[in-house]
Amino acid sequence: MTCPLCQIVKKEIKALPLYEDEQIMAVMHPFPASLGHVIVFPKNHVQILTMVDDPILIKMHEVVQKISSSVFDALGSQGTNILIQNGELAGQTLAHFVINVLPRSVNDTLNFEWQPKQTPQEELDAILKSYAETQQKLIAAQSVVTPKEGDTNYMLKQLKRIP
Amino acid sequence: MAEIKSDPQCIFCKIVKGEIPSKKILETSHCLAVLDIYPASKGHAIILPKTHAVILPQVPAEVLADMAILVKKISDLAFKSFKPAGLNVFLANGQIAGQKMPHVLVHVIPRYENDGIPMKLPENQPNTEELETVYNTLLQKTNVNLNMKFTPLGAGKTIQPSQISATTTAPASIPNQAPQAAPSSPPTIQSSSIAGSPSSSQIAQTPPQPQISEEQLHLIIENNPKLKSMLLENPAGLKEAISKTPQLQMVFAGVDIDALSKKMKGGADLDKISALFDKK
Repeated sequence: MTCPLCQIVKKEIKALPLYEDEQIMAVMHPFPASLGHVIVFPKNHVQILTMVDDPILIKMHEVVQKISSSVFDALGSQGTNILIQNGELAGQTLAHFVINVLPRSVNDTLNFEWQPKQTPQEELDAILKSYAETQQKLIAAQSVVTPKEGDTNYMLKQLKRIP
Repeated sequence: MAEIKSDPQCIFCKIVKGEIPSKKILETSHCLAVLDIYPASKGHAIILPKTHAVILPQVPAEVLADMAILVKKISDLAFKSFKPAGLNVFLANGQIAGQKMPHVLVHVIPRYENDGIPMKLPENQPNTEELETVYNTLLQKTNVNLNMKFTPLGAGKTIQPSQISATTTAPASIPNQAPQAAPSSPPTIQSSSIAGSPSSSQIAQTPPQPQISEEQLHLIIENNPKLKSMLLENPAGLKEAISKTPQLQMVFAGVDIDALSKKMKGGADLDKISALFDKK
């Protein structure tokens, strides 16, 4: 299975790069959702956010932030969206983790508005409790938050189906 | 540790200070993760910096790093707690991008079948010329913002060292250069060129025509404060200097100085964008 982003990393596919170092790359999206759409990704082929090593994730955010500034400065854009899609249902199309930087303008066709749900206090408290319990379990198991390679995370099985 | 700035009018600064109650999931030294009380889906969390920043570019580096790790941690907890089919991380900068509150908020939104949350991206066939123009503009700014000189091989027009005389050093092509890497010698134009008194030995024989890509021109300008200030404050004087100096003629061949000057003065003002919120 060939991953187009890995091919960009190996220079087998031409891209318009904005930044590159040993660990990460930022290129113009070849099929942009909006004009100036940039993707920032790790060179290492990992599928979702929780698999990215902390130092790489931090560096990616630094580059994302600077590119957002560039979009404001250079394109005179009035806004940007930063979007991560984990899983096909969340809009992920490549099985390689990507952070999208999307310049926004009045004329674009993008819309990420969701319907906020009125939620009863008890329901919110139950959700908060679930978070706390998971956190407790992780601490108790002294488990590492990052899934290791070969981890049978169900999200990864789902992503294997993405061509 | 960086000082925590807070805005007395900002709801999220009040949440940070505990003046407004919240459903807190986790807290770090720089950030807070709370439940969105009007969630898009089950487990919807928001991560916010404790210090008041309206948009992402204003977030200090150490806070951003902390935020990135907390977003990852909350995503992991959400996956394990609710077993969603997917998960989005979403951030809006500016009203046009859907920002509702004047404080940086990262949304972590677990996704379930038929939840109706629109996070798919259209894939448009771009106009190649338009894409390249945008690319060149973004590359210039990103180089400045990341304090580096990233000149990708094969992108834009390449410049041959022989085409430029000794006084004007073309920016070196340095792929793979990390921002921390030692800076290479910046291209410099000696002040004598600007003053309009080139030494005869330096007069180039090549007729002036566009030879330098936009990003290279930009690098030359950024690395020559005198040239930059002239461009900003005295474009007429610069034009006169160019007319007397072959080196400058080569650098600025085919460039509209007035337009360039205007463009450099322009650019979006981040404070103006954040001020739009403060007026509300």
